[in-house]
Amino acid sequence: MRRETLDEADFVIVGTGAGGATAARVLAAAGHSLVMLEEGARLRTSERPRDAAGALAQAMRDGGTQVAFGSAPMPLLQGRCVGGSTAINSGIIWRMPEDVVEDWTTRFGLGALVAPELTEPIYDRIEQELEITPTGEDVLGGNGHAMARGAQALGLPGQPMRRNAGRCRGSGECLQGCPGERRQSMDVSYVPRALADGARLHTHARVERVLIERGRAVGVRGVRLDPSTGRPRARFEVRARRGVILSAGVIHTPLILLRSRVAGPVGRHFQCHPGSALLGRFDEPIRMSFGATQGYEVPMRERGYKLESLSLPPEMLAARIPGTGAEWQERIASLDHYAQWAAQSRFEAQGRVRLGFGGAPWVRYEPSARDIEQLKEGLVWLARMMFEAGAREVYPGIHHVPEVLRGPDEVRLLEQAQISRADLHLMASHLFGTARAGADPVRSVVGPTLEAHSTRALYVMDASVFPTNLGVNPQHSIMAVVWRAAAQLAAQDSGRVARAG
Amino acid sequence: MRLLNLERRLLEATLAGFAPEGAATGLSPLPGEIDWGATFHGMADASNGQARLGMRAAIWLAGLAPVWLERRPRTLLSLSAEERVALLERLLSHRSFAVRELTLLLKLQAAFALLGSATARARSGYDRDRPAPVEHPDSRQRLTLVDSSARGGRS
Ligand SMILES: Cc1cc2nc3c(=O)[nH]c(=O)nc-3n(C[C@H](O)[C@H](O)[C@H](O)COP(=O)(O)OP(=O)(O)OC[C@H]3O[C@@H](n4cnc5c(N)ncnc54)[C@H](O)[C@@H]3O)c2cc1C
Ligand code: SF4
Repeated sequence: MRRETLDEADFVIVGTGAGGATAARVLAAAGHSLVMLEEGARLRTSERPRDAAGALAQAMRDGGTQVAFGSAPMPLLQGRCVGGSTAINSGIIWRMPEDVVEDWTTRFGLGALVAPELTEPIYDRIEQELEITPTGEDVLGGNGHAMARGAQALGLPGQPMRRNAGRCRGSGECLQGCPGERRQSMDVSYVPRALADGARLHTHARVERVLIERGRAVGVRGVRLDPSTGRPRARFEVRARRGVILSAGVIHTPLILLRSRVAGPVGRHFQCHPGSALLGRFDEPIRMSFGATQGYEVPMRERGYKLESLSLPPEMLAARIPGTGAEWQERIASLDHYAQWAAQSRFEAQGRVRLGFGGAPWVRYEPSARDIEQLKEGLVWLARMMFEAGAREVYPGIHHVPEVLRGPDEVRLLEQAQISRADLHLMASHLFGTARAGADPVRSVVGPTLEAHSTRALYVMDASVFPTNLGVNPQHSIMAVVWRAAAQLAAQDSGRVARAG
Repeated sequence: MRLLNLERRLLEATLAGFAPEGAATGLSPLPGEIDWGATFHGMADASNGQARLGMRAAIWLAGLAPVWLERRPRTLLSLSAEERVALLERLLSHRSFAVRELTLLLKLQAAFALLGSATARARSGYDRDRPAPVEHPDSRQRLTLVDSSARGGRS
């Protein structure tokens, strides 16, 4: 294969998701030269396929088929394009909860990274720049409104979600890329902003390892992929004068670190917020085709879960509806009558990411019995809310629980069921850990500035550094933590005091 | 991923088995309306090696289910539409997680093929009486220009 030196800059940033794009936004604005390397393509929202199969194939890692192995495989969803997972996410915004800040400060020595007096101005700034507002009533859609009804009837603490989509028009297509760029994912906000500030972006550039000379990161090495076939085309190297920043996400950042033989508990402590959803069939139309993809939420964090409305494209909705043959066909002839809500749960389990066959990731993750019980409780609340909101039937989609619950009395069948991991369909899109931050070099990979304990000028700036999961949607916390670290780096490195944050 | 001729036939018969033509009610495909095999290749190309293996295993699992599940020496191809529906239903509620998941993978492909057709989608009601999207004044210009001072001192 050909070998080329692609570029050189002060900083090289690997990955353009929540972490990488925020680092680029801060460092480019502070006047540093930088190169962003992204394995995926730069997708123009106007050109992205609107059908579910096309959207998954184009923008998701492995078309959505990446899994964690355990007693039952669990899909791990991640974006693989400019903008990373933010290009396919629903735009939900939460600041890091106070108890997490306290935990990270006391147990992991990360006060200098997450102290509220340092991060609050950053959150404010991001919220202003990314048009963060509560979802408007006019775009909640039938799915969100029905959930609000159910929550209110049961006296649960529901609310319209805050999202980075101030001009959301309710097309319900966040997964396919927001038409009109209303949702401020990184591909339409911080990446173009960094480019306008002089950063350079190379797409289809898959980084494999960090070049380390005398204990210092000096660049990266990887392969250029053919945009049409995805096959390796040439080897490349990019030199970094001041530092290498890894922001390839929770599964791929540790793989790069492992290939580069960086010391520490790399790949360990993988955590996530697995989720499961149930469907309700209503007599009146719900019309999932209109409304914010996700617009309404019931945060029950103290119980370990968060309930969210979640609309789907018709293909995915139909696949979730029980039955085959005439029974299924009857049900899917009225796709405008369904609501879907999900429970995302803060599991205690920890897994591990390793280099597998041919350099591919091998993720091992096994939820505890307590995790499953906790999630089941969330699903029971969802079923109750569905019936309160007027559902005629609820489809839990759980083995050992009837396929169809026909009234509120039948929710007890779900409540009383002995459910094991393999009875549930779990999925996780909020991933954490694998290169955790902390003051102690034995228990963590990077320190409070996000520089690797063992390698100078090597930084990790993405969700990998989170030493615990959060119990809320993570992108805002990722952006704020990275902003803080990147602003410190910009100030320290150039001798200038960056005003960022 | 290339399929053998037999695999392709088993796949198409299985996917069509989820939603047979000519059902009296419900969303019934018209003759020739759905290209059942079409989504398979797009999905397989985007998938990783393990998933591709799973997709192929699913074809054989369902195609040979009459043999291993019902002890009948035949493939799914020689079953009637009603028998296919009953067989797929059994697979979807099988006690083994692997069997259930692989069958669900087939059902996902069937749903993608069926609802991927514009005409079938129109009959599904998904877009029925869809409200017009809400319009907002385009404030993007203003927002992306927040803090647009030049490089160097800003951030
Ligand atoms: C479907 C979905 C919905 C979600 N909804 C929400 C939500 O509403 N609110 C919320 O807060 N969070 C949400 N999340 C989670 C959130 O998007 C992620 O937590 C966040 O984007 C993670 O940021 P990151 O920088 O760690 O990784 P990512 O955003 O995943 O970015 C990693 C980037 O690195 C690139 N990359 C990987 N390996 C390499 C390599 N070797 N070389 C070069 N580039 C590489 C990837 O292609 C990708 O672009 C959602 C996630 C998904 C998948
Ligand atoms: S629901 Fe539609 S308009 Fe609203 S943010 Fe998502 S894709 Fe954009």
